[in-house]
Amino acid sequence: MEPGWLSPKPAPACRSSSCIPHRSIVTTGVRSSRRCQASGPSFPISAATAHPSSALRFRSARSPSFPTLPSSPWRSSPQTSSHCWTIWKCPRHSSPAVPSAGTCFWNSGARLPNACAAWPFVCSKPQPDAEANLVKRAATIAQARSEGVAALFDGMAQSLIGATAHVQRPDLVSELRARMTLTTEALVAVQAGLATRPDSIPTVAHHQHALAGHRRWRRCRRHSG
Amino acid sequence: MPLLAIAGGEDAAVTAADMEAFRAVPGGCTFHLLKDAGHLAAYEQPQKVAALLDLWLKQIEG
Repeated sequence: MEPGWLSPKPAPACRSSSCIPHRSIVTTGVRSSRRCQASGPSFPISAATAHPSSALRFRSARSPSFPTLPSSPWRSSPQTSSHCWTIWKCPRHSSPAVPSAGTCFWNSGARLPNACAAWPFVCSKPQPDAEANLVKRAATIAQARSEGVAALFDGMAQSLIGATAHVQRPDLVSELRARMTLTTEALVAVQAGLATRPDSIPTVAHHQHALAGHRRWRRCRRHSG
Repeated sequence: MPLLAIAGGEDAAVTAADMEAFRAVPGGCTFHLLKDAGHLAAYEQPQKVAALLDLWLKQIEG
C-alpha cells in the first residue's frame, strides 16, 4: 500500500483533449497515469489518481514533528513517508530531494527534460500488481464504499508501521493515522490507480516524467535557465 | 539514471524481494535493506534513510 491517501483532496478533472495515457516511471505508487500536454501552468493531471493538494503542500512542506537533517539535502516534510524522491539538477540547490508523494504528476517533464538527476525509491516496488494484490485492492475498495475509510485507515496505520517502530516509537501509529484524511472517493481512486501500475523495470532508468511541487518546479525552472 | 532502492525488512506490503527487482533495471541500482523498518521506512527511520541518501548522493555527484 502506498501513502497516496495521505493527501486529502481529490484532483479536479483535466478536461484537456490533449491529455493522453502516459506510462510514467515514478510516483509513490501510481505509475499509470495521464500527462497533460496542454500549454499553460504545470498542473497535475489525472482526475482519477492525481491529487494536486499533496503537491501544493510542498510550498510549505516543513513539519516540526520530523527532525530536519542538517547535513543532508533531504528535508523533512509532511510527506516524509514518500516512497519516491526526485533529485533535481539545480545549480543553487545541489541535488535537492523533493518528495514525489501523493501521485502528484506534473507535466514539468516536458518543460524540464534534463532536470531530473536520479531517483531514490523507498519501499516502492517496480512491478505491477499481481493477481493477489488486485483481489486485495478490490476488497479494499468494496470495504471503503460499504463502510467508509475509518476502519481501513485504522488497520493500515497499524500494519504499515514495522514491528520495531511499534515498540520504539508507538506514537507513530496515531501520528500516521491522523494524516490519513482522504475521502472514500479519493481512497478508491488511489486504489484503482495503484491497481493499474505497469511494470516500471524497462523504463525506470530513463527520464520520462519529472515531478515536483509547484514552488520547487518554478525554482528549478528559474535556475535551469 | 542513477537509482537507489531502500527496502524495509519489516515491510509486508512491499518486500525486499519485490524491491530486488530494481537490480534488473538497465544500469542497475544501489540497493539497501533496512532490517528494522516497515513500509514507511523514511517515516520510521528518517535518520537512517537520510544517511543512505546522503551517501548515495555523494557517490553519484562524484
